Amino acid sequence: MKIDIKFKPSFAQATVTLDDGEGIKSESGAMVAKSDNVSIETHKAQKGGLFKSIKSALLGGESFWMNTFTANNGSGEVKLAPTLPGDIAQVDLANQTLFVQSTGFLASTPAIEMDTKFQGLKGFFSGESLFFLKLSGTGPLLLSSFGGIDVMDVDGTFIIDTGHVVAFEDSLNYEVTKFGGWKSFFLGGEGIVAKFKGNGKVWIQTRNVPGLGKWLRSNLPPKR
Amino acid sequence: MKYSITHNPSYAMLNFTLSPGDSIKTESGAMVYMDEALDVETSFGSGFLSAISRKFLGGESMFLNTYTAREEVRLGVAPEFAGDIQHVELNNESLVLQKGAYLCSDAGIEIKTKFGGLKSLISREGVFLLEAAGTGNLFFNSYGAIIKKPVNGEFILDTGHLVAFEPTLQYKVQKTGGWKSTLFSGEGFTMRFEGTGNVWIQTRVRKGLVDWIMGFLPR
Repeated sequence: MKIDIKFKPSFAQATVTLDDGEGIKSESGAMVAKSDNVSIETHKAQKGGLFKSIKSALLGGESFWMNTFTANNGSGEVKLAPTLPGDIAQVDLANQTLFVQSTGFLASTPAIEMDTKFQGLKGFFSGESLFFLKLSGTGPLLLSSFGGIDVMDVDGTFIIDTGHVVAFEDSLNYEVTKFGGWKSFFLGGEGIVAKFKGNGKVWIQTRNVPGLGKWLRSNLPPKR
Repeated sequence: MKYSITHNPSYAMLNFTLSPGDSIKTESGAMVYMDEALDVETSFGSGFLSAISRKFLGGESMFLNTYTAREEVRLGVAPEFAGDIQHVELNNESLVLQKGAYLCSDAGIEIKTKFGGLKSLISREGVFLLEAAGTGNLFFNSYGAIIKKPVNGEFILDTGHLVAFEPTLQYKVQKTGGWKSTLFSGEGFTMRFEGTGNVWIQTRVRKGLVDWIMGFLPR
């Protein structure tokens, strides 16, 4: 499999070249174009039965259906793009686990297993989804974001505005906490932040969707 | 203090590396990431009245956050909306900014609202501007990419494309050509700059996006 990402960071698109018999799994609606010899199979998001797929659709913010594209009789390509304007980043997992924010998954090799993980009450307080997608295995994975994607190394303690977290390695622990002192928490405009601890990588996006919503609400007339 | 601007022009991100004792003042809500060894203080900036007018007239937040490094740390800052970030160094100087364009600065720079004068009443962009004054680094943001345009003589700019200009320039708001062009050309009012100095312009206008989205909304 060869992956080529173009038009970063605002309108990124991934061109995936598949060898004969090779496949890639993507969220539904992500396909832009494909070769004629690439077949599409629509299936439940998760192999482990109906319940797991319902769970990741309802709780993980992903679509219930996923598509697997497979090249037949020679190599072929498929072009994939996320819905929002933004970036795509490739992560190569080597028998690892990554937690991905609910809308951050674009595609992966079919060998990577997907599950949902309850964040506990900290999700509730952060105003983000209560669940993360848990992706485990070996092979390439594509993350998508609103805005550009950057990867940050954490060694010790690192603080990120909750709306800017795309994904993180499972070697990191995190807690949701108030920002600074009480005055900064109420008046500083940051509110709740995620505090990561340990040693590993975090992927961030340079804009956040609640920020866009706030901008639209303040510029568009109220609903009548 | 070291900085880099990445992901521009569409989703620009400002990445600082601060040395112990360095301070950065930002509009509220602009912090994306930071190391823990930073102290944060939230304040009105230079007084309550200036905070009130910055919020209600200047399109900025009432409160400013000041981050001070205890060790060598990383701090990431980004504006709310799609667009670019521009750096300018002020040396006991001032710069006039469009409403909402302030992102962050060294702690020694003051941000105030500035009345654009009666001439700006007729432009649809609003009557008030911001003024950043002092010595140090200033970062401002746009919708779309930012272009620096040195002016020597005269320069005409659509009011919605203004991001910043040096106060060495005089300006007035005027019609675009005759009344027919003003009403029907889609250009509306323009700013006419005169003198010597720099103007920073943005390649898109927020009002244009808002009008475009409105066309899709149910009535």
